[in-house]
Amino acid sequence: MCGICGLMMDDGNLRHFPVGSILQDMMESQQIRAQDGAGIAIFNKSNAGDSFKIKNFRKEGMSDYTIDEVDSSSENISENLEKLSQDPECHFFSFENQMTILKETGLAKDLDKKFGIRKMNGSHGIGHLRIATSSRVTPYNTHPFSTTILPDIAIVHNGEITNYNMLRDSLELEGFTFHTDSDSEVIAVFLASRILKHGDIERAHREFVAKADGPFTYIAATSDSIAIVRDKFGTRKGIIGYNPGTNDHPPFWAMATDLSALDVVGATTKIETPHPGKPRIFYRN
Amino acid sequence: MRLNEKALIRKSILELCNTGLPRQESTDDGIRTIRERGSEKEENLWEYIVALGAQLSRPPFDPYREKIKLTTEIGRKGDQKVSLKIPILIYGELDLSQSSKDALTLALNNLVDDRSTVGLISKDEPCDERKYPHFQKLTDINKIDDSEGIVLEYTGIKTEEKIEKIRKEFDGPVLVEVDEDFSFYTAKLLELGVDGILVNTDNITKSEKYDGKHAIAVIHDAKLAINEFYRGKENDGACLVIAGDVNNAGKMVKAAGLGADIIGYDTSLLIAKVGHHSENFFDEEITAQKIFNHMIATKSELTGIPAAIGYSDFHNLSPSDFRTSSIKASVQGDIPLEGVDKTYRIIVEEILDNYLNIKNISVDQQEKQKIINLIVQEGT
Repeated sequence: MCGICGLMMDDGNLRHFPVGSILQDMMESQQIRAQDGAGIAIFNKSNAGDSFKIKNFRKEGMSDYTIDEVDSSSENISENLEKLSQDPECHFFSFENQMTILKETGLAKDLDKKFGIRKMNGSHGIGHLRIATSSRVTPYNTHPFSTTILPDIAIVHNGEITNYNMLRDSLELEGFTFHTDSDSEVIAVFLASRILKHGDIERAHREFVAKADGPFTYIAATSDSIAIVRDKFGTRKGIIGYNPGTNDHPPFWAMATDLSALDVVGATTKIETPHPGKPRIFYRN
Repeated sequence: MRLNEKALIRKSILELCNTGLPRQESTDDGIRTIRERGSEKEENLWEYIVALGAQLSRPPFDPYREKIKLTTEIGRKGDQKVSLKIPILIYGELDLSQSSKDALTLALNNLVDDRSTVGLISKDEPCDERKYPHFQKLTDINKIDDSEGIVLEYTGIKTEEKIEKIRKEFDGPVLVEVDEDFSFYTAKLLELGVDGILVNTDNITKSEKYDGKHAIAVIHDAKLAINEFYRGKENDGACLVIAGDVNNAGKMVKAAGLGADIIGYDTSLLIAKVGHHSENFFDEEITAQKIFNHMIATKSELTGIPAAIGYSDFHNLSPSDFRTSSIKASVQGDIPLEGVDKTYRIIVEEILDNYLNIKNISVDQQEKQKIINLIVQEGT
């Protein structure tokens, strides 16, 4: 029973809108759903450039870790990814350009205390509250999940991908790498593999829904889109709302598992629920 | 609130509860109310109701009540695929009496009418009145009839030449029935445009190469041979047909879990199972009905296990869904062992990693795999 949320500004050129603060409110309002871990991915155009960041968990003793950041350019990115994958003390965290991922075990408010989520700005973002079901409570298995295939892909997920093993096997056969034991990671890897193949994000979501089995709703973000997708039977819920804006803030779309998350940020107009199996995508203008 | 407004709201909520989906258009746009929680902002009641409906997961979710997809397509080319509603090709070499053949044709046609299509592999010319897909078991390359597909037996390098020739004049799916050396030439067959391989586990387990091994080892290796061809790319639909010792739903499910896409169901077995009759008093329609009933029952049984595991598609079964108490089976089929939920190979690898770590020994990946193979073979 995880909790997921996401939001997209109507005006994607905004770089200083407090996405972190809104996501934090949405996560805290759904905290009752899950308490094992919390995480966010926030996208900001100001970060765009030739520099990429590869983040890794680096082991410190038996149970502690630090987050290790390796700055890379397009020339040495493959070499750096390869080098880090060979390091037994490193565990992949995220691959970022415009995106910033932060995640930790524990509650949403602890995540904010540690990383200052409320101060983060951007155009869109996603958040997750985790209750561990199929894999252990570790920072590695906390959402959002990213990939080493392409930068700036993040997913958060509520539910279960029952044919995870099969999907993972076929993606590994195609040559794509996994970094965790979580069934949710297969969504990120699948989407990245299809974007790499045909570059069409909507088609990638449709292909995933056609292949994936089990009850799930996920929210996936790229540098210019955010999508909420439910399984073909609609067995996990999801809700979308619009905040028309005020003098203090511009309008935005919000989506979440629970209605409470939309209520708390005033996204209570144009309410809709995504149709089962049909991705509902919002693009950055 | 007026009574008619209350009735309208009640109707909307009931509709949401029944379908789990909001209506596309609001019929109560006129009804507006002041939301609770002290808000003075007037909001559209319809949106409020939609929001409440969106909080429901679809109520009737229950794996035993979901539809399970069994449909399988044979063919790697988009416009020439053959679609089966039950992943079964009736297959065998028995010389059937004409009345048995007629009963089979009638049953297969009735299955198509029931949206339960299965296919037939046969040396005979396809029946004119057939509605089901027919795969011609090709004996003479110059006599390709108007079947939907072709099955060719692998007889060495000449088969590859035949495939090249067939591919020039036939666009439908071509399957090749392979021998025990399939791992050496499956990639070549797929490269030549073959759409899948047919593996008869009965024949292959009798070969010297598979002496002492089970059918699961053959299925596992055949899947591996196809996967090797697709290493680094997406499988474009090459299929694995498993025939032989797959004569009940349990074995079919096991074969599917190990990688079979389609089951080759022995014709003689089918007739024997349903045809408790004397040829002298043979009733074509009764036999056809029995074959039909048997296939419908098999269809129902095939959906049971995937449904219980939480799948909506029969083809999502994988070795990780099974458990075995035999180390031999774990090694041969890559199946996790009971209790530990890991394959024997993975357990060996973990122990070896631990040992190398403690002893501070460094070995490359290739060397490590060699050691694991040795230990695994010793264990079986």
